[in-house]
Amino acid sequence: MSDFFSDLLRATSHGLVLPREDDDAINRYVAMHAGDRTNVESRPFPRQVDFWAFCIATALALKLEPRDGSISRWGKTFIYTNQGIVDNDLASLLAIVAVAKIGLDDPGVTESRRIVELANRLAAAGCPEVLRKLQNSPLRTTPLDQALEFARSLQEQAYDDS
Amino acid sequence: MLLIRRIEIVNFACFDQVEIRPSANPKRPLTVIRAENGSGKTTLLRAIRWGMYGEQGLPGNPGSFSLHPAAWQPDSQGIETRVSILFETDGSSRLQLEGKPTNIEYELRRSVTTVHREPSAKDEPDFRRVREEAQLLEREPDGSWVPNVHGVGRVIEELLPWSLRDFFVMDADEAADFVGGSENKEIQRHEVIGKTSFAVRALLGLEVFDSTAERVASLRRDFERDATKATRNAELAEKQAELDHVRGRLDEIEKRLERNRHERADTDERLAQGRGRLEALIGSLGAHDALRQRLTDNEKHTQRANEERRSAARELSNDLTRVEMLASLAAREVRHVEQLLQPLYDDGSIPVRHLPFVKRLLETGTCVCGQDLTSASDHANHIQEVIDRSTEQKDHADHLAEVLDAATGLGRHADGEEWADRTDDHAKAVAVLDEEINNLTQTRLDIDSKLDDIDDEEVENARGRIGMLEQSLSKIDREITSDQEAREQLAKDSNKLEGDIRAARRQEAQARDLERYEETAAMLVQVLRQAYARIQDEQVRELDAEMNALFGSMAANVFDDEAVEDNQHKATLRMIAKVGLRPLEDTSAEYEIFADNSRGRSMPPTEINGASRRILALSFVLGLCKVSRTVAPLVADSLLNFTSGSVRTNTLRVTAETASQPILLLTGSDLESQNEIDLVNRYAGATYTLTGQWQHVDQGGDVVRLTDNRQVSLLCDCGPREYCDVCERLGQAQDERCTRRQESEAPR
Repeated sequence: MSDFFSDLLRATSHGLVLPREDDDAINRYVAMHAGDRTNVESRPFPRQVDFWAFCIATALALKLEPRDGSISRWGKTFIYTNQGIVDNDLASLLAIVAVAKIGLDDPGVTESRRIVELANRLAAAGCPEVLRKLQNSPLRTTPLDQALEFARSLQEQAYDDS
Repeated sequence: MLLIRRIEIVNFACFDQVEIRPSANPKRPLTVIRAENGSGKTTLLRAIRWGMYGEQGLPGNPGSFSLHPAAWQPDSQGIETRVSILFETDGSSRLQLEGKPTNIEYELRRSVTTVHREPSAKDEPDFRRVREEAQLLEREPDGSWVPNVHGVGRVIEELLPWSLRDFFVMDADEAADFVGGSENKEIQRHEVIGKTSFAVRALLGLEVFDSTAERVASLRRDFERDATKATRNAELAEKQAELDHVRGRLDEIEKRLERNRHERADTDERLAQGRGRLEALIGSLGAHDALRQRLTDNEKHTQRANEERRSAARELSNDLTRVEMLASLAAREVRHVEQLLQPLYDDGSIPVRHLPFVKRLLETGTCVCGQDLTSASDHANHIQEVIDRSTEQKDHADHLAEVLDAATGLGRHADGEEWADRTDDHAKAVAVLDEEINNLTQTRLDIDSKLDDIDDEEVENARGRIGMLEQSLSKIDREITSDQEAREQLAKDSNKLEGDIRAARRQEAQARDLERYEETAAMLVQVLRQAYARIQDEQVRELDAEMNALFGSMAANVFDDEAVEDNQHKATLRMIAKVGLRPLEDTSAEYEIFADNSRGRSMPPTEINGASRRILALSFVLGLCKVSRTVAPLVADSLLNFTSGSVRTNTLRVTAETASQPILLLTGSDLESQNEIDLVNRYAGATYTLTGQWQHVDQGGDVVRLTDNRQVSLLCDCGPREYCDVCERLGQAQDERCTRRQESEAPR
């Protein structure tokens, strides 16, 4: 399988961004360092990019508008695309989303900058929803359970809408 | 033989006036008196005992025990309490082996008047008893009643000795004294042995031999002394005095030996208990190692389960990052893009597939339609324009083609089912492991708790106690051995002195005559002792076998009886393999009841529970009556307490079939099952119900009608499944198993 989209994103350096104001909250649900899987139930996301991707998917399922405004004002970059953090599957999905949202005739739809920018804005839109869900776990429900439960409910919603 | 025909009780505690006519029908010998707790069963038993034995038949301090009705306020005029027992014997007694040819009817009447007295101390009763009278009347052939010439005490003591009161008028709790006391009562082993031995000797008639042998031995000594005196020989008199002294010492040694044997028996019992306890504790120590091993295994299993759980949870966490899930959340966009790009792919717009072909047309100079493309014609220009435009859009179109390809791929996951199934599997794996970990944790807590129960210090203490008891036992044994040696020596001395005296006495004619008497007496003593030993041996062996058979009958089916509720009792009965009676070591006249487990180890009374002790005591009582052919009433209270299921049924059946006149005081719960009712219907010649009328609903009881507000118990002759105006209880009218009796049939 070709790595068309991951190569596209790796070719130039774009920052992956999450809202700065949620930085502390986000870090509570992400493993503390690479390979740290000892406490997956309270930190269900192995990496920040996984949390970022889940936020994008959440925004899409909930039909949220991408966050507007200057990204540099609210965003905090946690990694750059040239570090190869985005695998081809995720990059493909981002490219699909870009076509859906930007339009196929827009010349920018093939630009990695535009694709990543759209993804960052969607992630920022979905992030508060994800955090709200994780922070309001019922007693005896772990963040992992809560995230999976949330994913299932979003799935049903997205499937019905599609 | 003794049969009770009638018992009449007047003004005794809770009884105003009751009359019981126990069954004397040999085919239906059972009399059942049903009474709930607190209705006066024990009082009835005490009334019978008081009637037989007077004050010494009462428990505790008889002076403070009130016989008068509870509601009566002591006054100077007083109130008379009376118990009358009409009974019949065949003229035989324990001390007369042959009975008279005809039956004799007696009436034992005992009465006392209670009057008020001013107590001088706070705890003293405000009454005293005066004018106690006991009269034994004997029915003459003409039907008239005349006082018996021997008097009450002697006849009753001969027929039903006071020491055997628990034997014939039995509170089952007290009867358990034959086997070490009831569960909450501890009595010394030598007391148990004394009580058991007395019963055995008395009922097997061994006392007759014993007392006769004692009497003849005493006569022998008198003859011997007289013979010595008749010689008028000072030296011989001196030897006779020496012989008397030796015999005195022999008696002392015998007494000390008996005391030491009792002490040995008690120490032996304590040692058996201590060893039993140690065995249990050492068993626990063995279990301790096994528990430790289980704990280690548990830790390993828990570690493995936790590791597997962590791995399963990691899988679940990975599920959150899977593109299938992300794609299913973006299903709308994926489908939309697919729909958008698929037509472009179909018409060849993406990717740009015609460019190489058109370029080749220009190179060959001929279009597919046949026009010449080598010169600058409109057609050639158009082809060139297509080539230029397509070249410009190629990257864009290729990108879109890749997007379509990706959308088609991800579109297959858009329904999310695959992801959901996989996540469910991982979640189930976690749940299964959670349960396993919970179970392992619970097991660990159980093991920890069991380990906490084992007290190593207690084991050391038990060992220490056993060591001390063993030392004490060995000291007693040394004393016994020394006394036995001394006894042998003294017996030799005595024999030598007797021989010397006898040789010297032969010189005198008068002495010779007396000596022949002495020799005759000596031989008689020997004959009696041998006969005693022989009869004792045979009868005790017979009793031993009878007890085991009766016990076996009562404990039958306990192995497969599902109805037995009390597991403790079931376990203990199962543990008992053999019961019986055995003579105490080193003695010929003392016995004890034993229960051995299947490994032949004797189980001390502390290891035998309440039900088993009762059954064991009852098998002794019934067995002894049977072997000694004693025909006497067995008035028993609380006989079936602690028993259940087949054991209860068997006990009732065996008692009804074996005892000559069983009079059983039972509670309603003793007669709950149909098996017991069937037995009562089959064996009971008389049934009564005793009702405490103060047990009215207002006072927390369940008797329907309050007929008297004083504390009286009323007796009616209702059977176990009958009721009348006197004994009707709440709910009985709705109980289909119960029958209302006609008023005319109902009771006194």
